[in-house]
Amino acid sequence: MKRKTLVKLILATGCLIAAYCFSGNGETTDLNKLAFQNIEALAQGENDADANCFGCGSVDCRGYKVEYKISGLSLE
Amino acid sequence: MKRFAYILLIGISAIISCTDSPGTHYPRYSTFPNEKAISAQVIELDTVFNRYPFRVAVKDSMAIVMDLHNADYYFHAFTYPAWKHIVSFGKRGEGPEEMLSAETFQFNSPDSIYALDANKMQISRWAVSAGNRSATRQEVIPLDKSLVRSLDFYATDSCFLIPDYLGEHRYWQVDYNGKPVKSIGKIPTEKDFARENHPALAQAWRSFIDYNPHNGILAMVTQLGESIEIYNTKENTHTVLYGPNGEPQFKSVKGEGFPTGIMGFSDIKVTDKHIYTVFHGVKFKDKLASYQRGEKPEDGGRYIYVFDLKGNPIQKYILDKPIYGIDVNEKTKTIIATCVESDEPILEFNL
Repeated sequence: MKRKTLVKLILATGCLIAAYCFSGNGETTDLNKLAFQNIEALAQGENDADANCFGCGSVDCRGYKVEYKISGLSLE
Repeated sequence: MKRFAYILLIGISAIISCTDSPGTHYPRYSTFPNEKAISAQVIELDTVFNRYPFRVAVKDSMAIVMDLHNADYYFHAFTYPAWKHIVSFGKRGEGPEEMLSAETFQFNSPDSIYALDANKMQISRWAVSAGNRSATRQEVIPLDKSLVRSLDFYATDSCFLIPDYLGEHRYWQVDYNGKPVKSIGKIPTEKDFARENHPALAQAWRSFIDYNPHNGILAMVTQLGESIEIYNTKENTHTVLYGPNGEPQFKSVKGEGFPTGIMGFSDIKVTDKHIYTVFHGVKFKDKLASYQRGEKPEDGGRYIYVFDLKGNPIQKYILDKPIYGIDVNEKTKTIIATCVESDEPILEFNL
């Protein structure tokens, strides 16, 4: 009897943990932290997203106004 | 076994309820009930050279043009309607009184403007004197670091309205000390908001805003897509509209947004009865293809879309020249526009 109760408890806890992990809120918080780190990295001039700012235009690209903002060498 | 099934059911329900469900579908407009082709009249500005006239605004007897890629000054003041040069100000540079960038500006009174410098993260107020042909910086409001980067604003009597750069909210009310006091709304994407990278989403949803204090309408349009939002701050309603090109398309690389769709809107003005927008509607792919053919693609919008304050499409104007920024005068039925494509930086359209 005790063993059955223990199994049920483990299953219920598992379900709750899964629910928490799959919920969007946890991911959003992590992404916010990442975003701040990324913005700091951008401010320090690290080009880790391989961004290319081309031409003279109105699209915001790392503090410049350009015609295209591209990661790598293509739009895709 | 039954109890196990119940527990499993509860667990699955918890997963579903805790996850934001995508699938919000916003109304689309596809056509306008009225279409009209209109032609530009060129305003002669023989004294000032504009490299990239991005914004224009007229207040009583003064007009101001903002040059995004200037050689020396961001702003040029003129008499209106004679368009005689008064003074150039907002010197480009890294000095304490100089500007690193200019995003936009707004008349505060007939002889004073607020100007936004996103790279310095500050809003400065300038007094312009037509009599003395001078402009002096009166005040500088440093914007709070938590706003990260502010790309547009509207100054109301009590606060600044500023779009959110991080994508957690749609816009901020910021007090006159530069401190954010209230966040409002969220980006109306049809994608799964919770699973998107919010800063990248916000970069893709970079929007131009305008507010009319008489009717309480705050409207915004996306630069990299065809989405319009109308916040009626008096009735506390929020309307979202998508055009045929839909919301901004982008790819997210390491928390940064890269546009892949279209150049959408480039300016918006809210009058007492209507919302005027400049629309480009040119695919980035087509622009790049032009370069590959050895041609320079056109820069500017050939359309002015007019909506009523509820977002119903009213009128589509088809222009004979590409434009960027506009100033609308409904009483005289004229639109002053900037053009970056020629040596004729200021155009006038009669509606």
